Amino acid sequence: MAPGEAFTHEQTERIERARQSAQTQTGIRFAVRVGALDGDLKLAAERLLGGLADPRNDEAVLVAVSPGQRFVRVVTTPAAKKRISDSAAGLAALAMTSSFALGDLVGGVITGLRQLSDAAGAPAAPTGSRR
Amino acid sequence: MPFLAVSASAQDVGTPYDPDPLSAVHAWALYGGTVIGGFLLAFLLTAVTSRLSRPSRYRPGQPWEHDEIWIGAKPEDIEAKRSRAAVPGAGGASGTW
Repeated sequence: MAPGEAFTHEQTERIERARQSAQTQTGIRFAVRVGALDGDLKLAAERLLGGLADPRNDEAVLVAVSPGQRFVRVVTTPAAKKRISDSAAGLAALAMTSSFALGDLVGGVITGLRQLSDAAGAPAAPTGSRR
Repeated sequence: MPFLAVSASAQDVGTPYDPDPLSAVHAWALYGGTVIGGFLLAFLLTAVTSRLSRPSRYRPGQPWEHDEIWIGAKPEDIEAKRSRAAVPGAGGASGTW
């Protein structure tokens, strides 16, 4: 396999649409990263999320997939953790690994994003809109 | 036209038996081989170009030799410079396959 692009433009578009949809439905910022992780895999994924979001205030989720290491990590900021519990993240990770084991990286990521957005639900309505 | 007819001698034009008719094997090789060869050429060209232009399918266990891909904002795109430290109190889950 030659180095460079791992996905076709169409595959990247499909993941981007799923990510956008999850973000719109939940109000949580989602990011997907596919590539190798260095050192401690969990810690590396958490560091990546630390570079993306303010851990105290932002609701953000990172899905880090390392196909070479056969590892996927869903990381949620403390604010996002209130809406996506660790068990819900675990179910999404399980769904993803099921697809990855069959060689379907794109399908797995899309399924995972959908599960995470379903678990989070719609963003809380602003207090001013309550009657 | 009459001039052309006159200038072509009988030797040049030939007869139904001169040159000799093709043998069955020769005829099949010529006409069948051309068609089959054309299909083979088209198939080979299609296979080679599709392999070159499309990333090969991921197979579990194979090494991953691609550049990292970000879908959504990259840390470099975020305006506020954040420390790449682990988020305290972060949640989530892992999986392997």
